[in-house]
Amino acid sequence: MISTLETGYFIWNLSAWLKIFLLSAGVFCLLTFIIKKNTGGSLVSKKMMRGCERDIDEGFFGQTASSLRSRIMQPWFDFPFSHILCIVLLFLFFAVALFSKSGVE
Amino acid sequence: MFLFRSLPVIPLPVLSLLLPLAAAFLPLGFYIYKRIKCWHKYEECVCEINLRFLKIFFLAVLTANLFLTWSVWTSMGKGGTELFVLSSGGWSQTLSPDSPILIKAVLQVDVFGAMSAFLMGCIAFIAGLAAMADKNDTISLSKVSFFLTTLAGIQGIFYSGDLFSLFIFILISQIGASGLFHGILTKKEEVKELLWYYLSRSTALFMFLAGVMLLYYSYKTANIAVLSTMIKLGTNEKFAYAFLVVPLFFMFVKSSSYVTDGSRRVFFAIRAQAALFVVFRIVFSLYGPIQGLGKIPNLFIMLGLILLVVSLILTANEKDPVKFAEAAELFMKGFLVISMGISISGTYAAQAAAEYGFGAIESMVALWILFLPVSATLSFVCCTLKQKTADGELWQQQGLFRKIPISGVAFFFAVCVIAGLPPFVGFPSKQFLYRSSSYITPLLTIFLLIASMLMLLISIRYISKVMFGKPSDNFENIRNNDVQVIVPLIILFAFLFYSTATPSLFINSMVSPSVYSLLNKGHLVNAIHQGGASE
Repeated sequence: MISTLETGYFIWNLSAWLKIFLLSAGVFCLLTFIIKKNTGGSLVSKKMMRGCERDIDEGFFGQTASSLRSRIMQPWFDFPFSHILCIVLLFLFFAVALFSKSGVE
Repeated sequence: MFLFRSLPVIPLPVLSLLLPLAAAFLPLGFYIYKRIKCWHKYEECVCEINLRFLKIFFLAVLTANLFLTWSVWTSMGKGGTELFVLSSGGWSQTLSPDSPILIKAVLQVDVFGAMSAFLMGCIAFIAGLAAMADKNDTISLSKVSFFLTTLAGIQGIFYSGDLFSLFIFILISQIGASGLFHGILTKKEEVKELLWYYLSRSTALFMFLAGVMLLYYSYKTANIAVLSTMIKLGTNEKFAYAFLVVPLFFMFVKSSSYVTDGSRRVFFAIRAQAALFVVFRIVFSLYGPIQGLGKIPNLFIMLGLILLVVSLILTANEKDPVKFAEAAELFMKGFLVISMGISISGTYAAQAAAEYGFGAIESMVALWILFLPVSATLSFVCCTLKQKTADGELWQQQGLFRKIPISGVAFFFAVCVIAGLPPFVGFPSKQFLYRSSSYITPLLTIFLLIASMLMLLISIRYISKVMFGKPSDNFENIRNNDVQVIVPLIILFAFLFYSTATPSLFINSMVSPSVYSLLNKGHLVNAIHQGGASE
């Protein structure tokens, strides 16, 4: 059995990678098993699924990202002058980095 | 008359530059002629042309461009710089400092520019194929003209060694990109709607011109190689730095507006890549590691981190495929900007360069090369998902892998490259970056690893949501497919797969010579003072 694969720049140790993938798969399966055991056969708890017919509830990360996007970022993106604002802001950043005396020199 | 006499001995890069420019003016000239004719007769203008003829013409220009850029790249050897000077005596390869008034044009081609032009030529060819196959938005005279104008402008950017000519080519590419975005404006209301767009683009162009003027005023030259030997950091030079870098950085980050046409999106991506090319030229070839720019690497790293965070927020729970593609591109841009920051920081001292500088620059160039094919793949796939169906749009369905299997595979491959998952081709560039970022701070490496992992998870979730899952009842009635983009996708997939299978070829033939040519100011100066090609 070939245990290494040479592609010129990299030498892939196939058996080592196989071990990593198997370990990852094992951890993934274990996590799935524990979650399913706790939620009674479903990956997502029934509490989170309440009121959803097709889409799964977004979860903490999804909800936070959605609210950040819609409440804070989108209003700025929607401004017609957002591009000009972006250029001005970038120029200020560069001006500070080029002209300020404090910090790294 | 003079130009006519110099035609028989025209150098290859000049021909490669003139071809798309001339080809762009041909359909545009025809269109303007038709409009003037209609305006004289006070009738509604219908500019009809044989589509088959237009497609053959477009395909012939793109093929010739591909062949020419390939010839220029292969003739470059390994990292040399060639000058092509048009003076009153015709074309030569010597820049004479004694007679600058007689010089009519200077083209400076190095292996980085030549390789970039060929890569861009390939992707433009693929985008052209997709545009010609598009039945929803059929190709037209103005569309071909704007495609070729953008192509000519970007080709010029890759072959320019002079800041003034860079400005002219950026302007040409902007005219092409604006035309691709909204077509030819005929009503006042349309102009009013796009006022802020034009204002921002004009501001960017004027800023760049101001930077060029500042340097020209101080050193009486705008040639990057000559300037790099003379430049001393004062207030004017600092302002020039900001004026030159900021507009191009902005054009790189905000390269396109919301467009659902795959081929147009690809041209916007080409333009974004060209904008970053100019930033590389200014940061590495023109200024280099001058004392007083010590905070610039940190600024780039900070901007890159902001881009990464914003892209992760934008991709999480995004359902619209085009917006998802935009956010994924932003993620690649974030990595690129961070690698640029680390690269600059690594060029200040020999020890830093040996420890992490060269690794970071290789990572930066590799990421930069991969940006275009990956972004083109994402554009084609995501614009296919935006196709209209009887119930809305294609992405609103589930189990689409049965309908668009090639798009599904290409999407998965592109996502793996973006996230740098081994053994895909994104991994070599990412591993260079992880290694070099640990010299800045290990926290940065951890952040980059987590960001990549999150991106991979979000993207896989998106793909599985769209491509797999239980199809709806009327799934069989959907007639949409990805037949229009199959050829472009297969070519892109072949490139990504081939460079995944042979990373040595990718690194040794594309990345390393480009890094050498970007950093080695000496051969640029030699080329000018000794004339002709120089190693």
